[in-house]
Amino acid sequence: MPAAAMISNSMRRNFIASGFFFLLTALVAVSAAPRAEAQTAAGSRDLSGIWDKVSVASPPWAPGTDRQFVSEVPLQPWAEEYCREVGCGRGSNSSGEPSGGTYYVVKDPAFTISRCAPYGFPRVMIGGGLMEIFQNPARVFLRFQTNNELREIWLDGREHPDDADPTWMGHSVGRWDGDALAVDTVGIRGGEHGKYKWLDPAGTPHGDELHITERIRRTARDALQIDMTFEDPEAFTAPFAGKVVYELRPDEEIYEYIRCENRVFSDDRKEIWPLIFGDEYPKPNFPPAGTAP
Amino acid sequence: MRRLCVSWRLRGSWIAIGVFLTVWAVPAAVAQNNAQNRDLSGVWIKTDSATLPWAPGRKTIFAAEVPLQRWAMEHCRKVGCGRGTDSAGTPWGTAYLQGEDPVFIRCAPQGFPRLLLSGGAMEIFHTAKRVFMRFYFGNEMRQIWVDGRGHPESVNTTWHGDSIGRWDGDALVVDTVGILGGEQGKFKWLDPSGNPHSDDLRVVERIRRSDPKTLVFDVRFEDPGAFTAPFSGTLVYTLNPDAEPGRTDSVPEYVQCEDRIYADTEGEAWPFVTGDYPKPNFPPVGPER
Repeated sequence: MPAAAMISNSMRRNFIASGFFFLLTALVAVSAAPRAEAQTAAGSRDLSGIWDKVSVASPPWAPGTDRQFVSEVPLQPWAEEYCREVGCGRGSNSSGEPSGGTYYVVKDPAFTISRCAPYGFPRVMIGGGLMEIFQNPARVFLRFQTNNELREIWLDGREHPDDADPTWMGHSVGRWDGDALAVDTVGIRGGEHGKYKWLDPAGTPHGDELHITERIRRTARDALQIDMTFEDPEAFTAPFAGKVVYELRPDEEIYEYIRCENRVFSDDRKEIWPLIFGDEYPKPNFPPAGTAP
Repeated sequence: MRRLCVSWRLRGSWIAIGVFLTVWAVPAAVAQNNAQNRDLSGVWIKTDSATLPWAPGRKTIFAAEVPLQRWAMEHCRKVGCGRGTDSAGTPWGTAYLQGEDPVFIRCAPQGFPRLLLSGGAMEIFHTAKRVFMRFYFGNEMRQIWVDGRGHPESVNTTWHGDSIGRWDGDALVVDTVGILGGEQGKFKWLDPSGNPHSDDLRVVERIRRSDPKTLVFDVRFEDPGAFTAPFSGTLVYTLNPDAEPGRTDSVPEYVQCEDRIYADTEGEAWPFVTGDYPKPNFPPVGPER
């Protein structure tokens, strides 16, 4: 006799009852999952896509130009001195128009004729171009066209590590606050007074204690707004805030981009390591824009 | 049978449950099961030693049977493919002349497939349309499209190639073309041993999680520009034993050739151009190719 036949009627009823309970639970689970997904798909918590930076809005970026992080960044004396040396934000293009970059480009640690350093965060976000965002439940990834640099923002509730070595990207944790992703980043390497790393393309230096908060929000299907605050007692006399706006570029793609690939292929000493020939490297022959910070 | 002696009232419920199970729950469970098998995510460490490919007694994919064409053989003779040792004279499986390795002397990326063969930690994560492999070394990242697309009609060669994948049961089958050749071993190697390859390299991988902690790659290499015949091998990766249970694991930041960023003299920064790069002072091991 099959085992099932040994089961009493009451037990069977229990089975049926628990069957219904299971069914109910399963139905709730199954119907809830698509709802949660639909909410994501509606755009609120979905940041994914290819984005292009359209503006870096003031303050503290100078009005009327695309100069970034210029005069109002509250610099500590050493940072101010550094900015005077490299001409923070006083660069211009060959027709003499303000470019928002540094005047003395060979001092840019990321420049191919300089140290070929990664941009790191936040420069890659402020001064980069295309950025792709993709996400899974534990993380949001930001992949930049520049050097294919990659940021990861942890969403799984973890905290910053206690004693991590500083990195170029820092350690980022995020949580959703409505439809905005609130991100907190620490552990960003400072780059020894601007020598190895800059905060932005203008040349602003920062220290190891830089603390950045971001509110990343899709303000429209095609628009991404990132409100940032910067705090760094080593380099700045006060915290300050800024805003970066990106636009969706669905037809664009992030291509492979190897940092300073030209050096890999070069057999010419000067091309490989122009830094040591720094004195021979031509200084820009157009005047610095704006006034000294 | 007593089992059939259920009242009609209850029978209706059984039918409802049956219909539910057939139409909804069972396929859902099967899909979930597949989805579990199709989850390759985690941090993986290569255990099978393709880093010692030429070492005697080792059964690895890069044993002496790589069927090299004449020019590739000549390159291998020059750099001593797989004939390197460590300072104690133990076969190391690298090239004998490490000063010829583009990764060391030029700070070139390893690229694909060398990254996969040379070991180190590798992280896999998925999104809806892609599987990503992020390697610890240089944080180099591969993306494998799993959305059904084909290769582009004209592929620009890149260090990691163009990879498309499809699921075959619980195995991810990946086809990669458009891999930068590196001009006869000058800029890029197939593996840490020093074998060169050309722009015509095609790599097919079958990637399978044979058990929750093991990832097996069956790899086939074909390159009419460098090899006289296709060849294949197997790589085994093991889940990072130090991973924290229940928490997503990842590889740390690694900026390749970071020391050169900080260097202020040419000697520090680029020993290769000054010709100071030391040649190994121990004899090459293994048979000359």
